[in-house]
Amino acid sequence: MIMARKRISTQYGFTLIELIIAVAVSLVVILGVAVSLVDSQRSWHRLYNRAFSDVVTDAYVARKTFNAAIRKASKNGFFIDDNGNGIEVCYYADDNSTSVDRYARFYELNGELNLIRGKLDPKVTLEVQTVCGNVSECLFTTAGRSAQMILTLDNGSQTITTVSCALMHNE
Amino acid sequence: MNLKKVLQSKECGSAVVLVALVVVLLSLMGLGLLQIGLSSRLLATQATNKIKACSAADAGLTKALFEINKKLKAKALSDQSLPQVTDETLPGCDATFSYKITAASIKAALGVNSLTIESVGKYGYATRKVHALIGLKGLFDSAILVKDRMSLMPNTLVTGYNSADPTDKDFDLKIGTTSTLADRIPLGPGTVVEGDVFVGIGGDPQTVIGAGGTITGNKYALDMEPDFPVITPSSLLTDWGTSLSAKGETITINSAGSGTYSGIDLSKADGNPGTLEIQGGKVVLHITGNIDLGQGCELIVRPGSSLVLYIDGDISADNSVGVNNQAGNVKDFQLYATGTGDQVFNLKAKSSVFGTVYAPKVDITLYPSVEMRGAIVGKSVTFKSGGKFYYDEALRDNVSIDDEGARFIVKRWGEE
Repeated sequence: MIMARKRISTQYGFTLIELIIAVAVSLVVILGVAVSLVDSQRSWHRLYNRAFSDVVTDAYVARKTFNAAIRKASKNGFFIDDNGNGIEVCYYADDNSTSVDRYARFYELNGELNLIRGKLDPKVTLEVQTVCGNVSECLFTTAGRSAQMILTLDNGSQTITTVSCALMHNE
Repeated sequence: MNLKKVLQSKECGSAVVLVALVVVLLSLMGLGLLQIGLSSRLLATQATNKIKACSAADAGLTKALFEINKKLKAKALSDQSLPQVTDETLPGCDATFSYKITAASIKAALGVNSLTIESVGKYGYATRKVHALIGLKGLFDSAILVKDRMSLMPNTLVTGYNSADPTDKDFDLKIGTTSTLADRIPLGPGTVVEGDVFVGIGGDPQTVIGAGGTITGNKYALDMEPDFPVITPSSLLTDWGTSLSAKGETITINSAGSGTYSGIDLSKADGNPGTLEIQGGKVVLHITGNIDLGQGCELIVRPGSSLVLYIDGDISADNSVGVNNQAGNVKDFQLYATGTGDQVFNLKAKSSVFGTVYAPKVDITLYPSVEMRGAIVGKSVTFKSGGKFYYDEALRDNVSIDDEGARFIVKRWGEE
């Protein structure tokens, strides 16, 4: 009997307590790693969105397009819609133009910021371009010879507001 | 003891693999985060650099315009002295700008309107270039411009002509005020303005402009404040230390008599009016006191002569007096208010008045017997006795570098 006990006690194995402790420790470690992984993944995703999401790139494109159009616009003859949702400026087609012969109109419609370019006298539309989508709010204002666009983009998960201001340089 | 044996056993375990896997995953994510951070920072830096370079280029163009206008005012503009700088630092910023003004010839350039400014802004690796075609702007873009009130009597006609092109019948004129107060431009019954009428920034044209009269053009509010350059007489004028006085006689001044005088006093004596006659080239007078024109007296500018009059004081005129610019060329009589205090001008004429009046701080009252041709800038203008006011479009369209108050402005602008 004593011999049998000794034989049994020399067999390899874990006690229940050891297993419980091992499992608990493993769970804590795995949980920690998992939390860390998920947190890292969320941070990565958040940072990626902040840098490269569609609203961010759209806002950048809208700002650049607006600035380029306003900077070359004529300070004589620009119009703002009564509700501030649209602005129209006039400009010279190129260096050979003897008078202001083009117009550009920014306006917000159904959540999109659109840009129409066309000829003046007679007024003919040449191009309609959607600058960006996900527009939740768009307001244009002018002061003196400068124009401002306050654009809020919202894709459901991220909201960004960008403000662009540019001076009309042409006569 | 058993556990120790197990740990010391040579059997392969999975923990090391798992830990290595987690470390690799976390490292990859960390690297990804760093990469995104670096990329977004690079993008932001590039965008910032471009904005700074753009601002520097704009500043360069503005500085070039300022420098050429400074030279123009000092009458020191020549083909050899066109402003130019290279890599000047923008104050408060590390960005630099360079600008260059080019023209084959100043005089030729103004003829064909091809004086250009090219400005390059740099910050880091970002470079921005803007260019502009500049042209001259004079003091008289508007037929009548006031800071306060403009009063046109009933049946006044405001219209235009072009002394440089008599065939031009397509007049483009405007009158207006920079004020936004109510009823600053009361138009009398029968008054006709053949052009636009503007009011100050933010003003309501319906309340600022009176309901009477007819306006063939548009009524609108300014979107930019017009500039009123300060005019100062040349410091090179000879100070004669006396006044020009004619009592019942005629005194004649030619270009050699140009200079600074303490006043002009014309009065009647023995039934004869006093007359100041300008004859013989361009006469420039700086009057530090008042001009008093007694009954029947006249200031006559003979054909082939011209008078540029700077006055620090008031102009008062009795009955049947006036300024008689006989050639009828509006540039032959130019009147500039140069006083620092309050001034009042009462301008009369036995017949028509031809000339320009630039007095943005002065209350001006005009009594032309027939008509006035030219342009007026004043604090307030009262056009008595109705009649006609003809704006000479050549004052706006044919500005020369020798004109008083002329300055360069950007006519065309572009960027690359």
